[in-house]
Amino acid sequence: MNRKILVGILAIGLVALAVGWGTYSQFSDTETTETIFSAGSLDLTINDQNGQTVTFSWTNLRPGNQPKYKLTLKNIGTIRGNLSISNIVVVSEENGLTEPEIEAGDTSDDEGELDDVLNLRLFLDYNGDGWISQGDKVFFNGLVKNLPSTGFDLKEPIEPNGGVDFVVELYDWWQYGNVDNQAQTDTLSIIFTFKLVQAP
Amino acid sequence: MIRKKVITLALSTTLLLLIINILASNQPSASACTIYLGKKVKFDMELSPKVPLFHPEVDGYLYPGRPKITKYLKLINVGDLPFRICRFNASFSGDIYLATGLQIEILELGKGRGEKPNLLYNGTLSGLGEGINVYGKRAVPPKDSVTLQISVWMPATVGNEYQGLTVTADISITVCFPPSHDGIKC
Repeated sequence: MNRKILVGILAIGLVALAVGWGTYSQFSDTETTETIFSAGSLDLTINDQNGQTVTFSWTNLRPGNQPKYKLTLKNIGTIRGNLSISNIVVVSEENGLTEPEIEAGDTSDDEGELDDVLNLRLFLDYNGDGWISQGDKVFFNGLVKNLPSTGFDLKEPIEPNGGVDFVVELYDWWQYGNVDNQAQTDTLSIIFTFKLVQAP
Repeated sequence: MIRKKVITLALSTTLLLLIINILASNQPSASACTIYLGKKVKFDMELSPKVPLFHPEVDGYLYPGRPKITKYLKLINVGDLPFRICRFNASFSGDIYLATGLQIEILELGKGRGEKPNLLYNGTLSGLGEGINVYGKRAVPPKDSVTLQISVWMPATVGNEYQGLTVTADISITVCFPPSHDGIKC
C-alpha cells in the first residue's frame, strides 16, 4: 500500500517536472555584432604649440615702423572647426614720463598712448606671402584702441590637419603731431585668444 | 509509523523535483540541436552583415549635434522554430566612458510598408551594458528574417569630455523560443 502511495506521488512529481519544464524553459540564441565608435576632436595649435592665447608686445617702436608678425594656426584634431578670435585684451603702459612726453602734453602716469597712435591690420594670409593679397581676409584695419574686446567671429573653417596664417601688422604712426611724442617709451601688448569651434 | 516515513519521503522527493524544476526554468537551454517534443530541432539565428556595423573609417567621427548614423541589422532565422527578439546586451572595451555620451535607438522594423516600427530601446549606449529584456513584436518563422534599425548619435548638449575617445561595443542580441509566452517576457 505504502509502496503504491510512494510510486503515485513520485509519478505526480515527474509529471509536474515535465510539464513545468515545458512551460518555463526556453530556447534562446545570442549573436553579437561589433560596433566601434570614435568621437572626433578639435585641437588648435599656434605655431605648432598647444595653447589658445598669444601675446604680442612691442617696445622701442618709433614712427614709420611697420612690424609684422605671422602665426600659423592649425587644426590637429579630427573634425572640421571654425576659427574665431574670442577675446582681445590691449594693455597700453606709460613706463613713466620723459621730458619730450611731458612737453607734448602727456600728463598720464599709468596709461600709454601707443594704442591711440598705432594702426593695426589683422588678416588671414591665404597665400602665405605675409602681405595682403587678393582674396586674403582682412578683418580689422584701424587704431589699436578700437579693437573690440569681444574679438572676431571669423567663421574661418579649418579642416583636420589644415591651417591658416594669421598676420598682425602695425603701421601708420606719423600723422598725429604732438601725440606721437606722448607715446615715447610707452609699451603696448595685445593678447589674442583664439578659439576653434566645431563646424556645423 | 512506517506509513508516516513513506509519506515524508514522498513529499520530500516531490519537493526536490519541484526545486529542480524551478532551477531549470531560469536556465536558457542550449541554442542548437535541442530535443524538443521528441524531435531534433535547430534553434539558430544569424546576423547580417557580419562585419562591424559601425566603424569610424566608414561612418566618420561622432561629435555633438551630428546627425544620427543609422544602420540596419538583419536577424535571419536559420533554425526550425520561430523566434522573437527578447534581450539586448553589450560589452565594452576601449574608452568606455564614451558609451555614456552616446545615444542609441533600436527599432524593430515591420514586415509590411505600412507597419509601424516597434521601439525596442532608446537610451544611452552604456545602458545596454547591464542587459535589457525587450519584447519583439514579430514572431519570425524559420527562413524568414527581421530587421533592426539602429541609430547612434551624440547629443548636441555633451561637451569636450568625450573628445578623441574610441569605444568598441559588442552588442549581443538574443532571440527566444517560444515566441509568445503567456505574459512573461523572455
